[in-house]
Amino acid sequence: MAERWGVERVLALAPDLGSAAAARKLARPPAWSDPGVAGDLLWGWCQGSGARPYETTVDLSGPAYRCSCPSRKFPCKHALALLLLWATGAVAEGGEVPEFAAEWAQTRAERAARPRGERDEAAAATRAAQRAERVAAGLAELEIWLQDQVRTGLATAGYGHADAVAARMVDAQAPGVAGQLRRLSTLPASGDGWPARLLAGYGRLHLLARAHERLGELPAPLAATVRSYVGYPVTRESVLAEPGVADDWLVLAVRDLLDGQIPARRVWLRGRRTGQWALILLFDPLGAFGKTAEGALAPGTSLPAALHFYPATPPLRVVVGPGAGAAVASAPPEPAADLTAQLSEWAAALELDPWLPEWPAIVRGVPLPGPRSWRFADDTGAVPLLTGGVDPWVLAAVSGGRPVVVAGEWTADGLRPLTVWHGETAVPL
Amino acid sequence: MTAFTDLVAAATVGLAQRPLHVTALAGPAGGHEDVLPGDPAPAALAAAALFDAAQRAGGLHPEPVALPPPAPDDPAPELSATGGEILAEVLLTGDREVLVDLLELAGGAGVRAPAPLLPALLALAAPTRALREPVAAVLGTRGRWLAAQHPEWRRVVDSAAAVLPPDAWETGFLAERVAWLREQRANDPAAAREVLAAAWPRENGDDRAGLLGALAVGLGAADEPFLEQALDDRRADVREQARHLLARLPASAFMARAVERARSVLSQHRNGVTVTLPEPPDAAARRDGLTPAPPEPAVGEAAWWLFQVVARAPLALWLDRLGATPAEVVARPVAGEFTAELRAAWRAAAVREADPEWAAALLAVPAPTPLAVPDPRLTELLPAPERVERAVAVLAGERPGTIADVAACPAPWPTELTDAVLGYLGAQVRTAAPPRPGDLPRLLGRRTDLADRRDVPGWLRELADRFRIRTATVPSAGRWAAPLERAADLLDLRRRFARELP
Repeated sequence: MAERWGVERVLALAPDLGSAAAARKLARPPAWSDPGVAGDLLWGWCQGSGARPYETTVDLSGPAYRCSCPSRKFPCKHALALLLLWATGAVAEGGEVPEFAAEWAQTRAERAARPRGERDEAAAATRAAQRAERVAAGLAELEIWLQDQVRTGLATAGYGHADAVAARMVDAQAPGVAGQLRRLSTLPASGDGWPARLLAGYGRLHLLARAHERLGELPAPLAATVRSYVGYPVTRESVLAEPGVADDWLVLAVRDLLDGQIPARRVWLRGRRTGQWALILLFDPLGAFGKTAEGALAPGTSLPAALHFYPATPPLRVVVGPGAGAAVASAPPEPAADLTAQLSEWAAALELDPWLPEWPAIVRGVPLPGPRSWRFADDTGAVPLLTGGVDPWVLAAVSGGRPVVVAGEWTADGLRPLTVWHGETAVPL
Repeated sequence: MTAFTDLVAAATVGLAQRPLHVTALAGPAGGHEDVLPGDPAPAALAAAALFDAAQRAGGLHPEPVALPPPAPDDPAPELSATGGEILAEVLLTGDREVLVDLLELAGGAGVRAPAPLLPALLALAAPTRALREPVAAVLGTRGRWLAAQHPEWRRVVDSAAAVLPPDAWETGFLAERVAWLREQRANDPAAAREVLAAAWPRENGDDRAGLLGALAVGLGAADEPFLEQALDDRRADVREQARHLLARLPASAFMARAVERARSVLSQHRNGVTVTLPEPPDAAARRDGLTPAPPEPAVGEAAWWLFQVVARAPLALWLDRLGATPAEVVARPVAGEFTAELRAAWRAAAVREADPEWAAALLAVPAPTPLAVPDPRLTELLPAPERVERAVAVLAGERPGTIADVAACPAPWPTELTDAVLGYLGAQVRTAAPPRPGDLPRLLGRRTDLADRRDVPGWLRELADRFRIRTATVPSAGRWAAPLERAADLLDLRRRFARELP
């Protein structure tokens, strides 16, 4: 028998707000006849606008859904409502599994049992070697292109100047490099000092291409970091094969990046006992991250789990290992000693990974509003506060001019605040 | 020695035109020159990478800063976390009516909004006058401190502040001057009137009517001369305001003239009322606000003159002349064709004098003319038990009326009224009879007191389900279900919120 879920977990599955609202309305016993649950199978009939009631089934282990309604939403409001009904304890356990549910469960079981096909290890190795060759050839072209840029002069670069070479890097199976080039492509004429920003970006790419040339000579963690920036795929299975780090992982902050090619969510974590930082990175084409347990993690909760780190230096990105517990409310985190200490940690991380765009931070200080830009200050001084995409006024309101604990991302340009603690409560910004 | 700026300058123009031989690097990148390749272009790129790493690792040193003073401690308790969640939910839905209701509940209980919600509340209230006062009531010292730092939020605190600037009368906006004058009137009506009278000749026409309205506070016989001269003002709105105030002074010459005009119009003849139509308004009558032309083409001139003369006279006049009680006066048959206009005139007078006895008498008889004020205006004047009695009868189908009759009942609703409402809804489910005009579910959702009645939301949901089942056979039943559920949700929401208050 599956353990009953919370209402939040069910609502997190909703494809949009409208579905959630519609499901809430339907999640009342009078709308359902004979709902039941047995094992992982949950079923019921829901009277809709049609003559025949809809037959709704949910496999809680997936979760997977099936409903005879014509809705294109997935899961549909009936499946959500049924889950809500169950979550609130209004579905009796046991009972006879109706035919429509049993049939569907059987089909699913058969599909799952089919052998995946033996992985041809030799073929995989060949593919990997081919890829490495293709990337090496692509990065050699990139290096020539970069040198041409500084020889002919950055002044001739216009908006989109690097798009063609970015496309070439996609063909060369170096999507990470392609992404960085696309960002650099938007820099020309982007405000004061753009040539310096562009040249710095070229410098980092040059460093990456040079590092890739010597991939075999680098220490394994650094080589993995280089490979990850270039964009070599790392399978989830291979990460899970690494030993996990068990701890109570405090969810520090959640940041959605919706302007990229694929919407992404960053979930920043810190181990309460190990003090280790971790990052869960999620991608979803629709930006609906709440569908997974990781995506539903909220700042201020703590996740008892073993996290498996992607190989890299410093290690940061993780996969949540199997058997993770439920996230529970947690006390606020311990901040860095002061901003200067935080800066030292950032420098130490950069020493290991010179391409690092940001590093997690927990700091204690006072937000200072300004007419053009905000700052964040403690006894050691003030640093710029990056307020794009966040509401700094919520931070100011919680602070009231007194020091508050803030979790966020530390970058070369300043602190991007993502969560502030209001007493014991984590407030996302 | 090469600095990053030298490198950028050369790379911007192009190394082909501006060769650069990198030997020594400036700053923290210095000392790493040995890793640079010999070829100028790769050397420039590698140097850029070194400068970038040095700049990113060490460029962001905390700068010394003087911290401004923090917000003072807040003596008011903060709303509980659950209460804050409810408030945040309502903020998201954008239902301002519900929001104002919850804010007023919280403000009344002396709690302040949770700090994280302050920006959203201030941002909402800044452009919306109606929200400023309820929001200001829950700001607390923290919220006022925050508002003071945001150019657009200051007005939320300022406009809701009861304290007027000391020079409000001399330099304030009209609203501030009116508020100042009303304050002065409450303390010393005569002195305040003198201030207004002294300034009167210089006041611009737009402000005069507003300022004159402030005399409603502490109105007394001593104000009559000033008001009487305002009847000759150039502006119609000033004259109308003066008439409005003079009508509230029973001993004024203005009212004496109204009595004089009305005296000969109605008389008792045997058991009935005889109407002697008045003359068209002369110059003196027009000065007192009577107009010769009817406001609507459906109303005849004579009927209009009669209406004005009777409506402007004190009701007491008729008790002397036509009967002992309002009911007796109203019941007398009227000779001729003007029954409706006469009743409409009495209705207008009853509203002006806020007389419950006349209101009750007039509600019992129809007044089919466009001049008549609608029933709900009179219903409002009745004592609460009578209003409830009427509403119950309307809901039971025993008398004509609308949902407005229910809306006129004050909180808290007695059980008999709540039962009548639920009974009415039950009857709607069964019979699908045409509903009474008016939005009953909306009214139910706004009845704060019903939130205290544990059974009501459950009943509404039950009824909604029953309406929903009926949708198949009675299409109009579908209109009820969702609004009733919404009402139940609102009542539940308010109950949950009220539980969070001290």
